[in-house]
Amino acid sequence: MMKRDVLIVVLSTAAYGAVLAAWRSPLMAAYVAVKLPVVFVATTLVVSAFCWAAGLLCRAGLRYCEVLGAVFSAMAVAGSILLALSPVVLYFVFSGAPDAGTREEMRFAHATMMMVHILVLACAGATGNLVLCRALRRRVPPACRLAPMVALWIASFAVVGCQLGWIMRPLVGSPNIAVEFLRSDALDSNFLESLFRQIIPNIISKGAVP
Amino acid sequence: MSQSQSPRFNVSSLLSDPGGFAARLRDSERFALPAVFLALVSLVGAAVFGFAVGSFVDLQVAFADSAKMVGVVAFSFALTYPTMYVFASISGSTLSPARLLGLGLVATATLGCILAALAPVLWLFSVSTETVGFIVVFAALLAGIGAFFAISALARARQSGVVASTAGLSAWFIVFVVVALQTVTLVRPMLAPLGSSRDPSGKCFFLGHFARVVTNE
Repeated sequence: MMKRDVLIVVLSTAAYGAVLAAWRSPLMAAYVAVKLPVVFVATTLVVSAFCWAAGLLCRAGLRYCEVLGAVFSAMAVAGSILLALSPVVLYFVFSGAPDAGTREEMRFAHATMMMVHILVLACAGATGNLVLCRALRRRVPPACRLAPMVALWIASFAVVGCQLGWIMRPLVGSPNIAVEFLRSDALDSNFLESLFRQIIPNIISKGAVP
Repeated sequence: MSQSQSPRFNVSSLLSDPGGFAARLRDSERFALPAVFLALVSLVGAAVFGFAVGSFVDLQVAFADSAKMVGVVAFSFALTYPTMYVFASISGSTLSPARLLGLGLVATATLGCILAALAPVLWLFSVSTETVGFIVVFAALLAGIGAFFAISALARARQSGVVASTAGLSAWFIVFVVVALQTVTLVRPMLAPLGSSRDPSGKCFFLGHFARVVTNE
């Protein structure tokens, strides 16, 4: 069962990864089709120990393998949603993103697409966790504090997933930077700094922030 | 044959009891005919609404917008159909892809009916207004009313036991509306004379385009 879920996660995120970077170039799409599954699977593996420990603290009584299986099933749901939305997002990429323009226009398009992808990924992740929550409710003993446990899981996934995604950038592909598999400054800053210093200010100012 | 034995598939039964309509559609042996009927209602409603939008400019644009709106609805539905199936399955639906198609068409046909019913109101404002921004906002408002009733129809389908939850289908309908808005942007201009260069032909996202039109930039 877990193998099937892992396979779904890898295939669906590879497909969405290709869509994510399709506007930049086919080479970039191929890079991201490899990198996005790595982000998802690596995030799960990195946080699994914490999730298991949090489960014990909240009296869920789950074994490590059960936690890993539950988390991968949630990831598979999220992956299915990403796969289902891939044609829609691809359509938006090809109908909305300009092929050429001034630096400001391209930066605005890039920031807009970043926000669309962040929203889609967040919605998919939230739905996956909702399904996980329902499944766990049937599995854990009544004494288990399920809400704080799932909140801890989601928080750990969000923090680790965003940072891993940041390290593995470029994922969408900034129009003013050359296509590459990994950035040379991959470990120099973090996701939250970028969100509040570049992405949101660029959307508000229509691409005026360098 | 008494009337109770033959399932009724018409506009009044769709609007008065969309849940019952969806339930009859699910159980019907002859599924194709009502599905085609619903598709036609969806497309005719879109065409009538498009005509009212285009009346802002002239008769030629009205017919062009009418055809564009048919394309917008058909294309958006086709593009988002796989999304609908996955979303509905995740929210617990066990309906086959074909039966789910019928349920999706119940929502779009309800939207089509409401759009057609509101088209005379939009037409009245179209022919008596010169502000593009106003017509865009007004048309969006009327379409929003149609979308509200379409989502309500899906909720009624849940009450009739057709599906266990409509969360997935409602999410799909929102995706459908967003795709439709982007497609409207793609096929622009909708509110300018044919062949005019009033609208930029470059690619852009619908929110940016609508904001430009409304603020008259």
